[in-house]
Formats: sequence, C-alpha cells, structure tokens
Amino acid sequence: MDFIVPKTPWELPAYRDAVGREGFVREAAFQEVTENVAGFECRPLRLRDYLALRATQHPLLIGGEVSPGQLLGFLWLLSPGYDPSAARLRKKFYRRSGLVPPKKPLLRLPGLMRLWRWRTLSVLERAGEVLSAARAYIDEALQDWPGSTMQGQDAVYYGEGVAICARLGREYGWAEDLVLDLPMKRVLQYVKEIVSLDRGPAALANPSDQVKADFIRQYQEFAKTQRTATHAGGKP
Amino acid sequence: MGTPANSVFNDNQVAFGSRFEFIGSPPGSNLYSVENIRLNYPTKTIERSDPIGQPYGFVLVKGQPTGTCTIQVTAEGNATPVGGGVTTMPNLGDYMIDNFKAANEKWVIASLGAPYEQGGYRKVDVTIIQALFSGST
Repeated sequence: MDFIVPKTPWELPAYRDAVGREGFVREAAFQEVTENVAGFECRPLRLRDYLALRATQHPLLIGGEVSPGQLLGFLWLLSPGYDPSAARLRKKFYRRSGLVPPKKPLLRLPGLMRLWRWRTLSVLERAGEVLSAARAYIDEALQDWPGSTMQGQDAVYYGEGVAICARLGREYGWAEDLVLDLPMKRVLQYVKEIVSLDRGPAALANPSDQVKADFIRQYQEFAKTQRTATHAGGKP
Repeated sequence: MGTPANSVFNDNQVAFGSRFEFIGSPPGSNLYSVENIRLNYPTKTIERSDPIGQPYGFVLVKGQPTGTCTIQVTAEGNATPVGGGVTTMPNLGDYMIDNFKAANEKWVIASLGAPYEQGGYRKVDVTIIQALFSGST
C-alpha cells in the first residue's frame, strides 16, 4: 500500500476547506451581525465578554463539565438583550430558553412521571445540542489565538485585559473602552499582526494548521507500520 | 506566490511558499510541513574602475544562496507534543532536497529559533543555506 504525500498542503481538500472557513470567519468578523448558536441569537464575543468568562472560570473557556446554569448564563451574557441589572429580563430569558429541566410532579402518578421523564430527556437533548454549538462558537471566536512560547511560562504581573488593551493602545492609539468592545475575532487578528512583526512567523498559527498536523501524523503512523513490516520480514 | 499546476484558481489565501518536506540527515521518513519559505540567490559584484578610480563596469558572480522558513513539527501518535508523543524536532545540519527553481537543491538547516506551541503541534523558525556540493552527510 502506498501513502501519497502531496507537494503542497493545498492539494489536501480538507486543508483547502479549513483555509476557506478561517478566511470567511476573519472577514465576516467586520460585519455588525449577530451569530446563531443552535437557535439562540448571540452577539459576537467581545474582549469584555471574554474577560467576564475568564474571571468566572467558565468551563466553556477553560474546559470541564458545563452545568445547565452555566450554559444559560453564557447564552444570557451574549444575548443582544443582555443587561446585568435586569434580573426580570434574565429570568424571562431563562424561562423561554427551553433549557430549564421541568420540576418533578407533586403527584407521582405513572402517566405524570412518564411525561416528566420525556420532557426532562427532551431538555437534556436540546441542552447537548446547544452546548456543542456554544463550544464551536468559542472555538471560532478564539481561532486566531497566537501560539505560546516553549521557553516556559513567564511570571504574570497583570491581566490579559491590560496586556491586550495596552498592546493595541500602544500600536494603534486606541482607547481602552474601544478595545474592550471589539469582537475577539478582530482583536486577535490585530494581536497577530503585531506578533508577526515582533516574534516572526513561528508564533503564528491557523486552525487549518491542525489539518496538516493530522496528515503528518497519519503519514508517521503509516511509516511506522512499514518499518515494522520490513523488520518482521528480516530485511535490513 | 503562484498557482501550482493542479490548482484551477489561487485566491492568495494560501502562500505557496508552503510545502511538505522530508528533513533529516539523511531525510528518511521524517515529514514536516514547511511554510513561509523565503529563498535568496544573491550575487557578488566585482567592480572595474577606470584609471582615476571611477566605475567603469562590473561583473556579477554567484553568491551563497540562503533562506528562511518556518517548520511545523507534529507529535507522532499523540495529540499534544507535551503529552508524551514522540516529537522529532529538526536538528542543525539536517537538510531537505527539493526543486525550488529548475532542479533539485539541497538546503541545510543553519540555525533554529525558539519553538512555539499551538494545539497538537509546534512551529519553529529556521534559517537554511544551500549546500552546493553533496557534503559528508
């Protein structure tokens, strides 16, 4: 069996698709439109939203299990109607979301219990769907995060908000509030542009690089099996 | 940037300074993705002067070709290099053989930068120098 290595990654259809996708996301980030997260209308994730999620150690950002409350909180934060002081609006949003599991019936009659189980399962199924879409939304918003250095972690003397605002302020003269309200998809492209001048191309990464990495890994697996087969056959 | 023979259209989103290359001493089966390839084929100028030292002509002879590129390194059989997968970082003196102009050329890694990590791979900036003769490896 042969494994054909193309001359350029461009010859891999998956790579072309990934490049097209990331290019579209970058250009679309400059349009003032909302996004659809499994039927929920969401604003683009701004730096201010990102910092709020970081501050609360939200599992959608740092990994881990997401509770129904955390998922609803995320959707409310990014809802176009979000208002931190409007508790009533928030409750209404939660109620209408269809993601709040129904309460157990007071009378545990078989018919009522069946209905309750069916409704609970429907809510969980829908929550799973929304959760996958929310993860994809976050991945897309942060697709241009620059690579990290292998020289070890630097000591932290200030937060990410200051690091980004200061960087863009120094480079482009932008005010803090303006940067905080920019979508992450745009912020990270600007950061990348600065990083490319400072640190060189190795510090830059694209989501499509993962396609190349996966292809190389497949080739390495193939080469390994070929070596094993050669040794087993008693050849040098 | 150009359009490779088997592409119908290039929207310039992908730099065609990006290739898959086997790199090593000898290259063997160590496959890498090499991008941002910038090659420089310089010349040396031999100036000719007139009797009072003014320029009166010149001759150009070939200089030493050098270049830079970024190599993407992938961990073998593991999603993240730090998670225990075997990562074959290129070494100084490793080389690749490829056709960038009209014939195969041997390009040797002359310096390695600091690697950066992202997801399941690393990237490292390198400088390369063309070996004009086959050399010892």
